[in-house]
Amino acid sequence: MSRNFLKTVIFVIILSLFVSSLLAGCGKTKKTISNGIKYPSNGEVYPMETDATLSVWGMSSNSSSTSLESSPFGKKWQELTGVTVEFQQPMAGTNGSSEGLSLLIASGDLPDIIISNLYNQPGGIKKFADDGVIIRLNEVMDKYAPNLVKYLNENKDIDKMVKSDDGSYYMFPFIRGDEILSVSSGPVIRKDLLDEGGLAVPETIDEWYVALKYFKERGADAPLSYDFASWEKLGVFLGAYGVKADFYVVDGKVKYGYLEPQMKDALSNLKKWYDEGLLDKNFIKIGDLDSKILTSEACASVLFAGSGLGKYLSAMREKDPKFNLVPTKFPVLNKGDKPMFGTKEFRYVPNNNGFITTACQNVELAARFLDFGYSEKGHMLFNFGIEGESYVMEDGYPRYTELITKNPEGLSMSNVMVKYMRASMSGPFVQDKRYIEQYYTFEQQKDALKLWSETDTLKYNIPMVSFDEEQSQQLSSIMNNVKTYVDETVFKFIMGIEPIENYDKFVSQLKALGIEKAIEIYQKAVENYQNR
Amino acid sequence: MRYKKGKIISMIAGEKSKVYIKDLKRNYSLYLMALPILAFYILFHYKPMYGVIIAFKNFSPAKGVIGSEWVGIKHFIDFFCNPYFFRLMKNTLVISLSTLVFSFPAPIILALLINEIRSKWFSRIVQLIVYLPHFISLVVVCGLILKFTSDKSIINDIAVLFGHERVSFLNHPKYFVPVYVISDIWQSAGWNSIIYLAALTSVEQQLYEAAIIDGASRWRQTLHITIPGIAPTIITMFILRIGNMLNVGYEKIILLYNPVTYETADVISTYVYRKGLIENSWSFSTAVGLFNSIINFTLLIFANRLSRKINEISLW
Repeated sequence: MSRNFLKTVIFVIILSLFVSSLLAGCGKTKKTISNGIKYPSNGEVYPMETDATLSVWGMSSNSSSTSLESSPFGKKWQELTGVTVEFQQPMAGTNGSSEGLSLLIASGDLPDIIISNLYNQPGGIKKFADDGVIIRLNEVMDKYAPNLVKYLNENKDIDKMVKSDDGSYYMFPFIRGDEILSVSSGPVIRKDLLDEGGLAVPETIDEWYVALKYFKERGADAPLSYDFASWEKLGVFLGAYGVKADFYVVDGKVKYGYLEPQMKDALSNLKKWYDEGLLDKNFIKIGDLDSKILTSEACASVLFAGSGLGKYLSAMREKDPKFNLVPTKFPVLNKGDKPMFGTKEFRYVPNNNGFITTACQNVELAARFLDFGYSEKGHMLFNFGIEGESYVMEDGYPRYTELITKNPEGLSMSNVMVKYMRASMSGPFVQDKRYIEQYYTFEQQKDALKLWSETDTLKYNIPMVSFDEEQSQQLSSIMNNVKTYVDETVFKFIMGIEPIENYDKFVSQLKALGIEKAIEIYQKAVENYQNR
Repeated sequence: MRYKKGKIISMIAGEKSKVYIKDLKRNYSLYLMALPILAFYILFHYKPMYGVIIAFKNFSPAKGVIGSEWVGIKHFIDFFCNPYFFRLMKNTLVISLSTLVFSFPAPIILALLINEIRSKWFSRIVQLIVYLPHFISLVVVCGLILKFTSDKSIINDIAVLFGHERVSFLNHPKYFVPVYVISDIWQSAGWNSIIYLAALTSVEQQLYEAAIIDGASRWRQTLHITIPGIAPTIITMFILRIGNMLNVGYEKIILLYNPVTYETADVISTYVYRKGLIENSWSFSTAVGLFNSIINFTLLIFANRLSRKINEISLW
């Protein structure tokens, strides 16, 4: 009897396991259909009254300890707009990566709004529009996004960057409200050690050489330690010679840094630094930059003002009050020259831009919701947070409260800011410079903004161009091979494994890989941009 | 008479099906247990196979598998005409063959050695130590490798004692494959020796006794009894291994390589990985994967047939 009973039990268990494994894939979220929007009676737009909800994917923070849904920022955003939002978060670290987006699109379950960086995806924003993922916003903006339209009309230079070659608008952009916000990284050096040696902060390549040699003699193992691959795309030390490791525009003509003759001199210089031990031997893959800087093993680098400079200055404030990491101008060849390249960005930034998808049933609501960031109230929320909690108005100036600047729970400023606002990150709003005036507390950081801005790079950088699908595929196909070859060979030049005399062979091999076609594609795109 | 014949045939047929039905009735719980696994394979391995057609299309997630347009063998041509094709093939084959030649015999030798240990507790300790590296995650192992091959590592300290210069091994193309293979042996030899140890226990003791009586030395015994005894296992493992020839996994290489070692370290899978990141090229990687699978499959069948001819031992 018990044996049969046991058998039946096992049978039932196995059967239920089997059935439940079949159902494992099921489970979908529901989407509510719109129900009409009621605007407040006093002529304002917000807060709206509606039963409809919106699903918003993206806009995640990097320090994902707070989810958007439970953060004070997320709640206030919904309260002030009057919309209930279902925030969908991509996997940590994948927002803005093509992986997260591809998964979202492949799942077939599009949200109403995507807030992410679609510009840097293969094929660009146009591909998403052509593939039927996002909608064209021109008519929508005219009707339901008055705040954004007003801003773009008043700022024609930003307007040019935001719209496509044929005049279409696709996104609610992230805009830096003032030029001073456009730069956030650059070269830094240990001024306290320079003072000991009686040296001034270097401005020319020769002065840098002297300073680095001094550091080496003092015992630093890797006087200059920075990630060559990522920083030289912007031309930090290469820029002194008038080139950078990427495409750029000079007098309307697109050039590729590695094809230019000055690049050979620039690389020879770095090779000299490497041979004499002034450049970190592991410059290909810098590890432990933190410990290298804090232990003075590295005395110069290229850092971000907030997360790099700020981090080290506050870490060493107690331990070694003499520790003084200061920003320097981008190096030049001759004293008094203005650096050609730098890390300054355009005021339009493609990160965390808002898009309305084709799956959105209530476009009016979505557009109003995204337009909120550019309104008065939205501007204050995104930049300063919640009045009375995270900021107070002092004579018309929004001052961050101690909750932000000296957080009682000991959270760093950047961590707590993320709970209340989006100023330190990005999103569909205009960034206010009064945020950075309070975020950068160290003198060195404030100096950094000035010093690092003094470049001509915006004149020479490739503008916010777009390519059509065929060009985009061709370009990425060519650049994939070029990048492999370039990375390999340039490192070998600097390390001396490949003699730099062979530079001409390198150039002809680049041409064989199709780099001139790539330049052509960029040239066409730049010309289309100018004609917008 | 015909009636009877028919009846007999239907009786036999009936008998056969009766046997099946009887079997089903008696062992229904076993069949039921096998059902989820079967469903798993059908749903997740066989059904998705239709997706391989995106190798011949220009797949875009927004358009789906059906909606994407056909491009024929464009991706295969792109792959073969790629300027790096020969280098990628060469590196893949070199790494794969090196692993085969050095890393395949290592667990066998290890098993033979462990088998020779007299003391039981010592044998157990050795086995424990030797199995452990398998459980360490690949990322951690590669972190260890990077540290140990850097120019400040203990390996370089020892090299200096012998009068050599300090070398950061992973910054030189010629050292990449040795580092890769040696670390592979270190991590997998122990775990892979388990199956050979198991096979060793199945070799008949009497053969050894007979050999000792005949005066065979320990080495002779190993050569003529042990190895032929575990030969079926070795050959089976070998055939399975051949079926993975072109599948040099990209994870370990990506963790260890850098642009300076692309010359020897860049294999098909790492190139496709980089291409995928920059271009989001689902179709291209599917095409390359299909190419890999066809080659591997052909090699597998070939190895199997060869083994059957020579040793009469084969997988099927």
